[in-house]
Amino acid sequence: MSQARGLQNFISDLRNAKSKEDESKRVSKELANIRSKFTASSSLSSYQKKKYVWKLVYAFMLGYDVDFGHAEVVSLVGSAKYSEKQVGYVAMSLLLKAGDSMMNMIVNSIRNDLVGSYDDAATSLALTSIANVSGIELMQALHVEVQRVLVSPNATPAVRKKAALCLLRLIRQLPDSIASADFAPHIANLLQDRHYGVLTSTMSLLIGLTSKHEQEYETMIPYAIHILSTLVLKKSVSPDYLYYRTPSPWLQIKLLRFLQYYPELMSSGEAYVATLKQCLARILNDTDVSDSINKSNADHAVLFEAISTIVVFGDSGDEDLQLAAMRLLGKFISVREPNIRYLGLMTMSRLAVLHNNTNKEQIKTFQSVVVHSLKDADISVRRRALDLLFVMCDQTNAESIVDELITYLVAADAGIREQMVLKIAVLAEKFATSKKWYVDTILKLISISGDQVSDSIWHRVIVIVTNNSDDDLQQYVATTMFDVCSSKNAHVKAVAVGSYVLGEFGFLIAEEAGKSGEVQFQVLHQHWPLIDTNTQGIMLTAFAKMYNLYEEIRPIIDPIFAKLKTSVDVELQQRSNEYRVLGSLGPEIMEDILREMPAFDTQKVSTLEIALDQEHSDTHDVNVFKKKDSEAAKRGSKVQQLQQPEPEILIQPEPEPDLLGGFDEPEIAAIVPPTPPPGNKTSVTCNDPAAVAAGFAKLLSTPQGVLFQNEYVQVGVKQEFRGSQGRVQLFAGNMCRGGDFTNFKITIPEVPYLRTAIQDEMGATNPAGCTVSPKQQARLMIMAEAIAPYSEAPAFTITFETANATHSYPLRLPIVPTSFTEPVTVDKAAFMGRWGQLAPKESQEIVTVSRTVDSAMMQQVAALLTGMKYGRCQEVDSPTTCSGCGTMKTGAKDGQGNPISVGCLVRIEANADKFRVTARTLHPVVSQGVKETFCKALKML
Amino acid sequence: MISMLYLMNTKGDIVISRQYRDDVSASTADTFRQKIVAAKEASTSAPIRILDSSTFIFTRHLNIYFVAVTRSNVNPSLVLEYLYQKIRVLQAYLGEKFTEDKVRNNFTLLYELFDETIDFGYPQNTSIDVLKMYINLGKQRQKIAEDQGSLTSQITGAIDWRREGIRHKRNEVYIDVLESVNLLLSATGSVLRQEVTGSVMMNTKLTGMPECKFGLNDKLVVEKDKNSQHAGKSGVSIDDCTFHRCVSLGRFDADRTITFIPPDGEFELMKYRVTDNINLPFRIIAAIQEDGQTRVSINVKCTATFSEKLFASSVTLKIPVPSNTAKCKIKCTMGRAKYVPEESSIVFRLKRFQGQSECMLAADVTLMPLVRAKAWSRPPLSLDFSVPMFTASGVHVRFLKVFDKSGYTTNRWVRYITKSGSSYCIRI
Repeated sequence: MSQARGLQNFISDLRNAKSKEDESKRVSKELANIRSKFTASSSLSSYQKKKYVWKLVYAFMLGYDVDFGHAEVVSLVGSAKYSEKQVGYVAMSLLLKAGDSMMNMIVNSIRNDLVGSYDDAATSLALTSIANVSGIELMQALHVEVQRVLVSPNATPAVRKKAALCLLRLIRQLPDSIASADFAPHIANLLQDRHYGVLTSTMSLLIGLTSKHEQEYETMIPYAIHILSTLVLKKSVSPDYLYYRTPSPWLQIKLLRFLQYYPELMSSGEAYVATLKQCLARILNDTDVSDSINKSNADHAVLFEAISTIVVFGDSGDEDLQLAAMRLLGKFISVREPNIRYLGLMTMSRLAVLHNNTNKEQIKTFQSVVVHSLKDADISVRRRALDLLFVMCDQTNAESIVDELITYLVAADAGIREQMVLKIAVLAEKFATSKKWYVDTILKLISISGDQVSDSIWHRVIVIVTNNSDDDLQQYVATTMFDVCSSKNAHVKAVAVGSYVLGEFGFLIAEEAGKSGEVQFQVLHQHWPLIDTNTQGIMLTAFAKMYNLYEEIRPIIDPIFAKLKTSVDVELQQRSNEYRVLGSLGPEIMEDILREMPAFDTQKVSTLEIALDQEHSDTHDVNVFKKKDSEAAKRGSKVQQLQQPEPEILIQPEPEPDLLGGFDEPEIAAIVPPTPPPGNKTSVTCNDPAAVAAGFAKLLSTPQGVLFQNEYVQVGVKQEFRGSQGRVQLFAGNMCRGGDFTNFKITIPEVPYLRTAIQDEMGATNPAGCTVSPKQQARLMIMAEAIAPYSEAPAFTITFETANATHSYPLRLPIVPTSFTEPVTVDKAAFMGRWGQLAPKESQEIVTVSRTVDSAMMQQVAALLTGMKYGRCQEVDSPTTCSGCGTMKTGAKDGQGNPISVGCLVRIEANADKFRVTARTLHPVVSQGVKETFCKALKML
Repeated sequence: MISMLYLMNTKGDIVISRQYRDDVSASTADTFRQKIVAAKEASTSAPIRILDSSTFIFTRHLNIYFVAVTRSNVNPSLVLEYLYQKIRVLQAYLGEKFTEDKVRNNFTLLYELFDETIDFGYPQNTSIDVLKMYINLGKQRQKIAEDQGSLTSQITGAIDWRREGIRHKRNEVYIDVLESVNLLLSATGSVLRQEVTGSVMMNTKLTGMPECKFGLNDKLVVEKDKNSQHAGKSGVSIDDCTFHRCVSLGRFDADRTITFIPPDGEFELMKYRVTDNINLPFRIIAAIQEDGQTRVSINVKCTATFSEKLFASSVTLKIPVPSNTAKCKIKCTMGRAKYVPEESSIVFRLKRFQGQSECMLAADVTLMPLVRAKAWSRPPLSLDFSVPMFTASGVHVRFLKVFDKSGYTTNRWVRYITKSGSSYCIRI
């Protein structure tokens, strides 16, 4: 660095500054000085220029805004002197950002240094700064030059090294900047370089290239093996590249890592395979523990990379090598050095994933050592040991491993517990010798480490117990849970499982002595004060089921429900209320609802597998192992799915508010759809427009109801509107006992006056459609906002196919102008005033109804008016008229950004069997819409 | 309440400390040193910081930090007020600009003061003249024993701020009316905010226990005495005011007369605030134009509006310039002006500015072109001044009457100063 006194003073001033303000004062003073110097007419000397730019760089590094002086930097870069160039490049890589306008000016200077100059130092500076500035335009402008420098025959090794690394940076940002096929021969040339520095840099570049395009660089394998053999077998390397007597360990590692991209290499039968085997054997056999830490580190690094390579080659590789590797690993996992132990365990678990039986057997012999590592002082070693145990587990040793893990779980610290619990649960399920053992294992988990047992784990137990109704598992579990819950100290999770199990299967053991329904109830109820509200909810459901089963405890349970009616927790409140009312509805309904839960759906992926998968997908490295690991994990989970298709738990002990409650009613169950001859599908559509209109009209003034129903399908709606926004839930249930609806689709065309967003769990709005099984519902949540006045209710279509017919139902959503109305109460004078003003925008229609209008009917009309959210204006009404006032809210904004709303006045006058509906609003379209809505509703009275 | 007090120098060493409660340890000083002093944050950070569940309330006097540490939920303004009083007390004992060495040399005195002004963390008497009676630099220690009884009655009596039997050869009262003006003008010249905060400082040297009556040209009082000789003159409407505790508030509430038995020596009799009918001492017209990216031309005219018999001293006008200013060519009719990059402004100083006169400044600023052009935020222009014998609010002392049994005559001296407040700004 230059001997600039001013610079030194500046830096020492800043470092001695007492406070931030002092420092920033000094900096702004200096920057002002530099500004005045840079604008001065007389040109600066080289020394001054350098000094000021250094100062700018220093101020910039301290975090001050430096946004001038770039012109001086550019001139320094373009200077012929090295000392100036150096300052210029340093300043450039710091001060300039990608996208600066100065970039263009500087690109030419850099290009000159790169290609035109014969000065290595200048070229190196240029290459370094290209790599460090890394703006896209700089790269696009210069990557060709960098490649040219790299392959140029007269470049010195130092420049080549830098060029290779610079190119690596470039391809990381612009992966397609190099035409791989054309570039491979150049790399081959470089790999024949004598200089090991060049080779090391080239290997870095090659690994970068290979991670993206494997095939293009397959031809490099012989070169790599040749270099490896020179290093490993001949050990012929210049003394500069000996690191503690190991010939260039970095190059060795890079070569091995490159070879790992070609796992099929060993079986290719080429001549070089033998050499590679030799090399690997040499590395495995000749590495001995050395006293020098540095030597040992270098050697072990190479050794582990070699073992990884053998692991990657897997079954196609050489058996002897694998055995040797295994032997070494076995040695490593018991050495004192934690780093080596860690690597040993990690590599071994990779080896174990390979599905090679000899390997598996080999690894199993180390089980006790691995278990011992679980107690290691170092948590990362413990994690690796856990991973290894997890992968080495199979049918034969599962029980012992799971037992070991559970024993260890007692002592394990919090950092690793959660992972352990998950893994134990997965193993116990995957390799369960018997269902009873599985249940026992999970119960043990809960009792040891209940806090770490996630809901999905115990949900899983319940699925398995519920779905295995044939053997005596349910009875066994009920007995076990009864015993567990009898203890006062049972864990909350255990109580949750116990509540569910005793509620469902308690009757299986109720006959046994000392386990009667009442005792079961007492056993559960003793935990009540100590458990959280979720578990209380589950327990409440269990109580309801017991209530149904055992006459004698009804008097005890009734007060509990009664008391919870006023619980703080809404969920408990609702459950207790519903269960209480259930008792009064009559024994059949109650029994029907509180019947045993049906077997769970067995199509879905286990949540445990999902949780494990998430653990695996933590990084996206180019490393081959990570790729393999995640693939293996995926494969594993798929295999498991095929073996044991298990459902995800859907515990919904509480019945949905019974909107489409027809499902369980026996009359409907009796309906069997007509069965036309198979083969040619008939098409079915709504054949009863009156019924459709009736459903629609009913929904105009009620928040929920059935929109449409026939023997196949039932369409229900639940709606909620607030101001200009509404939420409409659409349920379409399969009422057809005969079979699935396939290709089920709900099509909702967009309309300009509504802004809609649709939540669709089942995929019913997808073009491909979905499948709805019998007794299932497709649900759709539609969020709608009115953005303009309108009159027409939006249409939608439901289409699906049953075994022998295609169905298509064009329907309308009950989202009408009155849906977005908010009631307004006005007095007579105001109403009449507005009524008069709005006379020109009137819309009127006369509706004939089936019978003569009487006062009861007028009350219905009034209810309809308030149901449609109009404020009744009774002062202006006679017994035969009914008037209301409301505003329709829209989400559209006027010029000032306020939402537009439309005032609406409605008057319904009765005369004999006719109604005259008059709507007057600010907007003619709305008038018409409101009028039509009212007419539709009145027709149905 | 205050658990611990310490005085710390700018390096973070404790000069002197006193612990009042056991709930904090001395190691809190390390926390303060590391997190605030060493981080060079003391000047920028808020005066109240919570670190490691202890609250640090601090202020700085010259090179000494006064730090109060507490764990309880104290009233922060009480603690800060105590710290200010503490500084005042130390100034009275050790001189206006006491240094770290002076504190170290008088550590016994400091401990006495620490103990006398706080008891178990609760602030006690900080009245200087009462303290001076009993705590001094060791010359009159023996007298204390005799005064034991009177000490109690003194501190707990009805008039604890003044002891009996004070004698002065010459009975004199000095009254200083100090006003500071805060102003914010928009670029078009309309007033956005204006306010005068004033205080009446007194220095009394009176014999015995005199009762004083003090009068300002308060609008309410002036209008009430329509028939007196002041009839016809309009007073100043004072928005709000606070008094020293010696003033009897009952009398003030009844007929707005300010009566009091003064403490001996210097004290602040009252504070007030005025927002209407303010006489601004200066009128400033500024034209600042940006010509393209590289030039700014500045023309400022400043006129003194007060009477030509008066003059303002140490007037400083700060004219902001962009932060990428490279060169400034400044011409001014009087005074001195230069570019100060630390504040990115042109600082224009006038030692003496005669009333009714005016001065001009013209500057031509060259800017350095920036790589990433940024618009200049045009911060406001600010002015600093002090004008003796002038009140911006128009407040003046109408009378001060001193009644004592002995009926001596009193010499009264009144002085007025108006200064710029914390912000006297004009937007440009």
